[in-house]
Amino acid sequence: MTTSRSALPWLLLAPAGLLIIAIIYLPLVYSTLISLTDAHLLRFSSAEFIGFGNYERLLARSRLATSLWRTLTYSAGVVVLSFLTGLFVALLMNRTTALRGLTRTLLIIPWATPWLVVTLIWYVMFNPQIGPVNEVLNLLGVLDVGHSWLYSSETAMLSIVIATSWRLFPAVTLILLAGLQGIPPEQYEAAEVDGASAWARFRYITMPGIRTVSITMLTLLTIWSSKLFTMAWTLTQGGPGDATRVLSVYTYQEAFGSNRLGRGSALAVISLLFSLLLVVVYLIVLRRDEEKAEA
Amino acid sequence: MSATRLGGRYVGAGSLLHDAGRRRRLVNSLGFVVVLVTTTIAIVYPFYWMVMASFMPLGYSLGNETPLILPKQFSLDPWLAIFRDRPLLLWLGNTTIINVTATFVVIPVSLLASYSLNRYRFRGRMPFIVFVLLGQLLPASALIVPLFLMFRDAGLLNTTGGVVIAYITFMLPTAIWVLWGYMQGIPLFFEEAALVDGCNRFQAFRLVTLPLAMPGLAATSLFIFLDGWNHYLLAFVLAGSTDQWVISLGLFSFIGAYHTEIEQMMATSVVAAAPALAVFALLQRHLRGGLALGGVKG
Repeated sequence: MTTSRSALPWLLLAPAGLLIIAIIYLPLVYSTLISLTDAHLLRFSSAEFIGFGNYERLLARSRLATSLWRTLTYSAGVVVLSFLTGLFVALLMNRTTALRGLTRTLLIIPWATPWLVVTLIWYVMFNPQIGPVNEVLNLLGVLDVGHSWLYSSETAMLSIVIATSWRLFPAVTLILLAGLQGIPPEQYEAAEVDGASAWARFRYITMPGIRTVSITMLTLLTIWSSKLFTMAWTLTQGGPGDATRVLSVYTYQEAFGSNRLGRGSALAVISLLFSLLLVVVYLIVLRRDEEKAEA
Repeated sequence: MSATRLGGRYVGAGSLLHDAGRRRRLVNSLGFVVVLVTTTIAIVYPFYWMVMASFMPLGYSLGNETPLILPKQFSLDPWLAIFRDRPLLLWLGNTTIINVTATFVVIPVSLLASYSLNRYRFRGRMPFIVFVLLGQLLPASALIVPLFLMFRDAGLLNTTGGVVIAYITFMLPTAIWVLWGYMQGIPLFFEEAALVDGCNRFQAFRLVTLPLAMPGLAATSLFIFLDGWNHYLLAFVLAGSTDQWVISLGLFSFIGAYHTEIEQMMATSVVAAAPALAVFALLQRHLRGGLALGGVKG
């Protein structure tokens, strides 16, 4: 590694830096400015500065709070379901070497499937008339009549959480599996000789062994799920009612559905702050965890 | 993979005691295999159903009981219909052109940046890293309004160029991130040896580091190329007319207000998923590290 006072490192960074400024940060500043106006898509040139009017109006209504809550519910649901499923499959695959290669290959299928195709697959899966989900539940005797998964406010959120987790959990499995395989088998053998129970082995060998990768994975899952648009938009359009109206969907609806660009931009700024908040919370948790591990 | 391999780890133990333990472990292992197989089937099933439904006669799913394993009739009609009724090849072409162009811009730019971040320590290095990371955190929904307005003013709306620029936005931070990880794996002393041998910095980079970074570059290119398949919102807002559509937009043309063409939609979905699946299958071995983390990005 070279400590450099020359301009060379900056010259190398310049193209990337300029592109990022031009196509990420400039729009961001622009967006913040628009959020302070009453800009409307159809009469954009006559937009007027209204200060924090958009923010005030958004905060005064319960819609924003509901949408933030939906985002948290969706994100938490996806993080929990995909992490637990991922961990479960990783433990299974780590336990037996048989079929590991085949399983790994098959696991890549949901994960390599483009998001849009994932939404269409689940659109059909949950379909009340022809959907295999109802059909299977029917066969198992759990459910008698066709349930409208995506169009009922009780199950719409659950449905998009399941669909999203299906796409995300294989990454958790592959990362955790790599972590599990990094744990020296001698530790388990020694614990077994000492008479440690299966739970004790999991609690005192497995969990510390995959702690760091788990935290990384949980952070990434949170960030990704909190900003996802495709699922909640294409499967349920934020509905029924506001059952799945997460922030990204709400932003889109205000900006392009109602053409209120100013208010949409204010929502964009709020969702950005929300993402940052999640990251900060995680960094704090991470630091506290490290301190605990060191103590 | 046969059941005999399961016990392979324990072969060699001779005593009776060990035999009992061995049998218990084998049964235990078999139990795990059964659970694993069941789980795997459940995981792959939705995908299987999509492929199966693409070979059902047109309208089959509406007129018949939902087939769970195999339909009573098979047909190639959905496949013929999608290429006949929709400009599918055009959409695929658009998708490919947009993604390839964006990838070709992103890769050299991110290679230079990740090289600089790896090889030099300088004031402002950390802030730059944070600056890239924050760019990656931004939700597409937060940028779509300003991008839409800027593109409208610049006359880039409903043009392929506009979509390419928007895709670059979302590919660049990811590419820098993933490539940075790869570059860290290339030891510095190769390059230093080349410098001692009389190469200048550029020659050392071109003759030593670049060839070593090639696999990482290839993997990153493929990865961000495929990631482009996922950018739905950008294309949705920025590309208006059907002849500029990318495949992700075309997929939705099968859902109608009154009637959804399930079989055709599933066949098109298979087409849309095929390139990504093929590449990921080829890249499987590299999927553990940074690429794996990037691979789940929405």
